Amino acid sequence: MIGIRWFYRALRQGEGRWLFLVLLLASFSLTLVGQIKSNALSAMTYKSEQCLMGDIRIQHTRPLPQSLLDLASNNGLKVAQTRSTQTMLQLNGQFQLVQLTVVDKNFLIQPQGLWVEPNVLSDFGLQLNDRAGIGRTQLPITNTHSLACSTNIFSSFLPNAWITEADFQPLGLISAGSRLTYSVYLQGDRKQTEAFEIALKESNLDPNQLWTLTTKSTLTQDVSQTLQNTLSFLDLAVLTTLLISGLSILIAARVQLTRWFESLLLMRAMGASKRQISSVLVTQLGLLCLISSLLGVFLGMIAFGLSLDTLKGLLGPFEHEYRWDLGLQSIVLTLITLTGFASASYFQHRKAILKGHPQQKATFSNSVIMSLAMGVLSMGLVSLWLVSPKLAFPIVGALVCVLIIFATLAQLTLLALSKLKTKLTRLPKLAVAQLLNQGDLFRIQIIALGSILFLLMMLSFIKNDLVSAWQNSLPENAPNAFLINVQPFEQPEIETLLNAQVSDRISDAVVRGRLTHVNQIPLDIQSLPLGRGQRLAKREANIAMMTELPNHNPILATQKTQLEPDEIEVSVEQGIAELFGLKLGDQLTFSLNGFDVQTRITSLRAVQWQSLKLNFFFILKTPVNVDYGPTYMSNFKVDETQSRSLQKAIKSVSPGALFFDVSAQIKQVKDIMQQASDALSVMFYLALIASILVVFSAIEASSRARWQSWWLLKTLGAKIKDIRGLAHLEFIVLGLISGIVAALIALSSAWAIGHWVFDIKANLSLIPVLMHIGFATVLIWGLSAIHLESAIRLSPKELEQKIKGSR
Amino acid sequence: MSVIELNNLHYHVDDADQRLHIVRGCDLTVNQNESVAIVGRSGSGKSTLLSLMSGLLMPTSGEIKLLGQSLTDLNEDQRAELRAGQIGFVFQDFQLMPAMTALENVMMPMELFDIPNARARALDSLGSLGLAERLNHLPHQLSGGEQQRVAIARAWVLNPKLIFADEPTGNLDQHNAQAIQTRLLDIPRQQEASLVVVTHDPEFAARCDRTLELIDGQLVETQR
Repeated sequence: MIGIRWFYRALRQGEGRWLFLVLLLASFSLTLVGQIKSNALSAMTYKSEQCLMGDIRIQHTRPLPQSLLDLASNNGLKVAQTRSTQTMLQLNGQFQLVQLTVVDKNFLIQPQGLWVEPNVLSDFGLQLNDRAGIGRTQLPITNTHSLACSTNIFSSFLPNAWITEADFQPLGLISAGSRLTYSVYLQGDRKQTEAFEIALKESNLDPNQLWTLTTKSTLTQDVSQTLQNTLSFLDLAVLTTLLISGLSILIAARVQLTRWFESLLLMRAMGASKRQISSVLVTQLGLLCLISSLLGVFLGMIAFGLSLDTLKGLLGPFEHEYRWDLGLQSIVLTLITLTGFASASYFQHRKAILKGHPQQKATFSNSVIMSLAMGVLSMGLVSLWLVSPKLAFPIVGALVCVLIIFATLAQLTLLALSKLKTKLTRLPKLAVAQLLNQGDLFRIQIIALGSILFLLMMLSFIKNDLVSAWQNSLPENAPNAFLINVQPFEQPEIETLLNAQVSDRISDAVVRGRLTHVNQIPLDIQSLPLGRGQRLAKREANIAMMTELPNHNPILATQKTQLEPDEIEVSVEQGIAELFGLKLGDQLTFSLNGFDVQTRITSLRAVQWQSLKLNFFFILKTPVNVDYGPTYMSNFKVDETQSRSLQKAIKSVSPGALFFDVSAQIKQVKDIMQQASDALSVMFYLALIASILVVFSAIEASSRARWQSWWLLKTLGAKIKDIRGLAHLEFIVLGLISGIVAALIALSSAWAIGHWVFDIKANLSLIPVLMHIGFATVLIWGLSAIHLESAIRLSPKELEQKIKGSR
Repeated sequence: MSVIELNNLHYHVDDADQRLHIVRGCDLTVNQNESVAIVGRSGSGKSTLLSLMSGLLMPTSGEIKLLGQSLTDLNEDQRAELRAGQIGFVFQDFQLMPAMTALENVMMPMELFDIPNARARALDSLGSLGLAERLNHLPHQLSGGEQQRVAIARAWVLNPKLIFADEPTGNLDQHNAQAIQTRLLDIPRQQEASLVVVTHDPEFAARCDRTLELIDGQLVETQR
């Protein structure tokens, strides 16, 4: 009861407001970041869901077993199935190869007759209800349907058409040898899909991993990587916010417990029992935490509600939801963080109070170390709760290292400043003395400010590296059109045509072929890795023929080899070389349209598949050999307005050529990357705002000692400009020391995290480091100047009253 | 020659529901080389009066002349300039910079105001107060009496014209208190300076040239 009454009175008098504010900030940030993270992911998966026409899609070149459908149904998922094949449509007297999808009665769209993509009508001068020929049958085109996006850029070149099973069966298009792709689309809520994915893994229905399973988060390689990195960054941002709050709690809890110390000491002197003292302390801290966390959650939700318009502007349309479970999580995590970061200080104070030792409060070095150790422990716990172990362990490990480094540095700096002080005079001497005045607080400030700057810089480095990695994967001049199946005799005229109308053109001769032998030994498909390895080995690939390797494929390794008379040099993409166990000097035998061609590996290349440029697993370094039956393939960037006219011109020269405009798909990938980049910015700025508040808390925590010195100096005759100069100098020193160390540690950590977690190459350069040191100095100096200016201008007596009021 | 003149000095503060008159029409003149003790009950406003006299606080009305200058005509910085080097302060709780040694604490005001020979003067001042062996000790390594002697050395080292002491012996035992009183009372006798001291100690007050009691906001000269 005493604790509750005391808490009520203290709250009314504004006592404990600082710790209250920090706890409120922690739960507010957790709630807001959690809400944004949850909804940003919804926004980012929204488009994916539209693309996928379901939550999960499983594809295979053979019919998928009934046991799979049963497994999905048992997990509460809705099931739809399709079969796709490539076939010719006769449209207005012309032939067009299309991707024909046969849908079952559960599929999202149910065409009556034939549905086609809208551009099919415009390209062939057709109208709705005109007829299209499939085999010997004529079917009416009853409607058009646009795909929201492509699920795979390279498989969606052909125009799409849809038909129901009932209309498809009589056509008799399927016969032995027909190539079909079977797809199962599954729909359900998050829990159902997650349960299904786990059950599918455990069921071993696909022992050779030949099925292609696509979920909203693994839509394409680019989008998947982007989503994964964004998710990791959001996790990092949430954890950063909590760490920042923890450091803030460490400072504020110390200040608050010191304030309560004398009153509790008095209680003990008056005969309060150990239990009563503990109860008062725990009640005060517990109530403070509960009320501030609840308010933080409430304000976090309001802030999220207020930011919805902005978020939707940034992230695109999405169905937002208020996740009150995240609010509860915020309260629990705030409590854990408070317990971790305040417990050592709590026990130290409690011990001193119980011993009735008024001097004990002055010696808290051990409690700083203990607080940090306990804080790290609690961080480990919440990290495992919040993020994946892959991210949690390096982060907590890095945090421990950083704290040790900062603590060591703070100690060394204190020693260095003590030595330096004797050599200084006037304001610099006073500024250093001011920093040395409260050694513990100086250590905490260096550790807290340094850590916060470190976390901010690391977020900033990673964010910049992530964004630039995305930008590089799809540069502005990425080609947006492909032309394939051009016959050798048509190629000269096509080249003339393209040169006149497009930019960044690449044209290569390719031949369909398959790797059959390695070093004269038949390729053993079963010995290759399951899934991708075996799939790639089974199918035919486009094998290029050129005399010079492409500039956009960096050469990783070369070997000069004496070739046999009938051998050709071959350059192999590094990934497939690793997958198939190929090395420089190996002899490869390809079957190219019935010809067995001997080759030897003379180079390995790196290929950036996301670049959308023409890339090949195997390149034969040879002039084009028409005996192998090559065709020509080009890609280029064409202006959107010229695309249609170019297609018509190409058709007149090369009727069999296929033209694919992938602008829409590129836009889709870029859109998602842009959204992810915006989400990163939102998270970064939120962490920045939280950090600014923590910097304020660190300044506030040491304010009393500072005011005391200022009061003395003012009383002795120091002018306002002297005090201002002293304050500025003190914080410039503090900011510089924190900034330099934080920048160096952040840079190395960002490189490590970028390398091992995000799989990106960090951009190490001096300018951003210097900028961050400058930023740190200006941040701490600027905030301090703003925060302390009012106190600087006070008269000595007003300052004295302010000091008395802060007790 | 007077170093302090108070004419009809008033000071009040507005509390939540009432106006508290702390100083009501005080008149006082303190002459050069004079030591004046101000006594009174706790909460009578002695420290506030000291703050008014030293220009740390501005009166509600009335006039304060410090070292011949009217404080009401000066702004905050000008009042600080007036204090710098000409007025010394000694406080009950010593007010030493914790991270500075005894020597550095005494040098500090001289370094702040660019006064030459700071080290030599500080050494001299501390030596004369019997602290030659404690020069490089930090405040927490000194006893209460030693800390107060360092504070006196700091106030004394600039040869001020006036020293204000607020309960300078309040935190000391009797032995140390008497030693400090003697040191403080030596100042007006040994150099051209005056001493204004706020104290609860009647013995200390009796050793000063004059004793004034603050009763209901007014100064009343105590008869000896």
